[in-house]
Amino acid sequence: MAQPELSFTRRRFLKGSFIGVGFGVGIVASSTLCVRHFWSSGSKRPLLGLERLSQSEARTLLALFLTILGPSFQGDIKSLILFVDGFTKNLPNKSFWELRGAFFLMEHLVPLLQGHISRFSELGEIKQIEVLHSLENGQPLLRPLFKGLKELCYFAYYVSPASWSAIGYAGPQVTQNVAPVPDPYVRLIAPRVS
Amino acid sequence: MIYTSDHFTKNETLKCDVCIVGSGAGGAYAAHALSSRGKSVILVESGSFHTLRDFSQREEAMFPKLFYEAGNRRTSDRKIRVLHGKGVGGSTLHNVNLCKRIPEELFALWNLKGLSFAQLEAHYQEVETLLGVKKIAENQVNRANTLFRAGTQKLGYKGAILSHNRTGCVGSGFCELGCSYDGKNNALKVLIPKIVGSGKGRVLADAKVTIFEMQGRRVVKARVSIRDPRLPPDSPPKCEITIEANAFVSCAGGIETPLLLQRSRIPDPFGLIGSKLFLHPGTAALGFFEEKVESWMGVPQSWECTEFLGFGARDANRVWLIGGSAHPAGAASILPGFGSAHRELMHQYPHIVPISPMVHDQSCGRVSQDGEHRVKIDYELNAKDQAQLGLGLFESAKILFAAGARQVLIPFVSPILVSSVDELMMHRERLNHCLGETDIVSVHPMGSVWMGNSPESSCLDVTGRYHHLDNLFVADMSVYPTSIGVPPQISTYAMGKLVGENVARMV
Repeated sequence: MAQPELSFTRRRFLKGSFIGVGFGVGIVASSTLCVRHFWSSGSKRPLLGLERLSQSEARTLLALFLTILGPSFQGDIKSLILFVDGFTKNLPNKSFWELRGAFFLMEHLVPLLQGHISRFSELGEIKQIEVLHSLENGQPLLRPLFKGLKELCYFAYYVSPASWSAIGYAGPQVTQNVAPVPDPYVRLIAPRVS
Repeated sequence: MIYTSDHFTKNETLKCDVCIVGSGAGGAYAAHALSSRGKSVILVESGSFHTLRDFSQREEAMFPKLFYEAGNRRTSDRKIRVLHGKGVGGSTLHNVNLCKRIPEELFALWNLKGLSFAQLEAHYQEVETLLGVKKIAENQVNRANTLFRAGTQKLGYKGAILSHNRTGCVGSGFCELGCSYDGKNNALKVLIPKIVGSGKGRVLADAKVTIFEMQGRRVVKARVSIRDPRLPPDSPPKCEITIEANAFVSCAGGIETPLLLQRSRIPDPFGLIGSKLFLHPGTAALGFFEEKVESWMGVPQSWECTEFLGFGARDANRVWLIGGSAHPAGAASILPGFGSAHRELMHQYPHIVPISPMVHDQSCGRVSQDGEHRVKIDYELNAKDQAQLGLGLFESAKILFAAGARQVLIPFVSPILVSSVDELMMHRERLNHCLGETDIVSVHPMGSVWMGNSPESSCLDVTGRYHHLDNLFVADMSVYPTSIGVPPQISTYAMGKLVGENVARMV
């Protein structure tokens, strides 16, 4: 039986090589991203006594806080990160995993899309600002990512009493756990049977 | 009495005449109507029971307590935030107490056979008396609303002082975080004590109805998961309660009611449940004044501008203008940009007066269950509704300038900061394309399980009964056949009363 002729032309060789190289680069790049992320998020002991966020996510958050709050920010970043970590306990798993996804995209993919090989938290201050500006004003699909992270940072910052005097806000008028008027509702709760 | 997760340790079965799901305006009024007629009622609420000392006036503490997903629920495209309240008292815990009836010309368009406007008005009157609805006193109109009124009147636009249900309001301005002073005549203050005091009503807090179980054309049981609110939201339930009743009324709101019915796989031969969701989308224009206004202080939203709000088939415009206010974290999320530019805007916080246009929307969305825990809200704001929001932003800016604002900011991604109406005219067309450009918020999801005359084109009859079952009723914001264009609070109380009385006649 006649064997089919193997025509190993130059064109075929080049085409095959391009595809092969493309696949290779893709696999290496994505594996690097994943290994880099999971190595740093899973294998190192978390700093700051975080309960929910990984160390890598805390680094992304730190970079976001410093960029979003701006150069004149002088407050306690550590407490802001711990606040976010604690606040995520109130979120359903779905929302928490969306947040983790947002940190991952911000740290790895967004800089890459804008031509930076470094992760977001390792970019210089000016480049971080540029990345955020183009995220805010660029692709409509990615804008909600910026919006969500920005809201998170400002939420953490502006719920803190330390931020209020600068903006002329006096804060709550009641003391926590003390009702300012007689509380008529406690008596509605059924007695507990032991 | 009120029972919380602390009262339940093991699975058990409870029996009553009527089981009501959701303790907001509709559910609480339905429960009051039933218990005051001698029917035994169990009112099931997925949120917690809060007493006055729980209302800490702190955004970070109150958002997770008073809103689903801590206030982060959004449409599928993430462009519209949908705020939906929880807790014993439902959305009446965090609302701003606006009371405005559905106008007769809109009601006439619904063409509901068997329910006249006169009947609805009679319900309104009784509800308004019970809740102490009255116009805000002149000395309670805060500075922001005074400026809003001045601008409206200077331009010759239609406007009015709004009616609220408040007694003993101290004007702290923390309404949307729950009232620490018991100044809101809401479901928690007015109705829950009556339900409990009747000796016929039990309220189960921290209790989520997972499904209704059916036999033939009747719902026979509600399965209820009890969750400890101190644990993360997705923690496994502490135990399961089964409620057996003669009738069931879903009052869980425009998002949760259709989801409950879908989860329960109740018969829906025309695929209508959840398919007609309206949102009343709103946004804001921000005026910067020389004086310190501190718009977060005092009674919010005491003045309205109705110049551009039409309800008839021939009315060109459908946008309502209302004052706004926000505490710092909320304000920071609306302002555009970041870094130094954002910080400078925040330093102007006491000088900002927001006016919020809200659209009586025609865009129609769909709410559905997506997996076990996910909520999917598909809603695309159509071009006409976006143009209405654009009109609202433009007219809000005009009013702010007429009131003396030195600058007006339209907080788009590329912000529009102008010093005159002429300058704003150059951006007029951009205002008509606000989706994805600015914060759009919905606080009135409605219409997803609506009343109508036929089972082919609606879900409920005019008594509130689900067309395809004999003992399942709905009494919340879902029941409206269209957007209603006004705050739904008082109408939803009236619907709760109407449906509650109908159920009382049946059981």
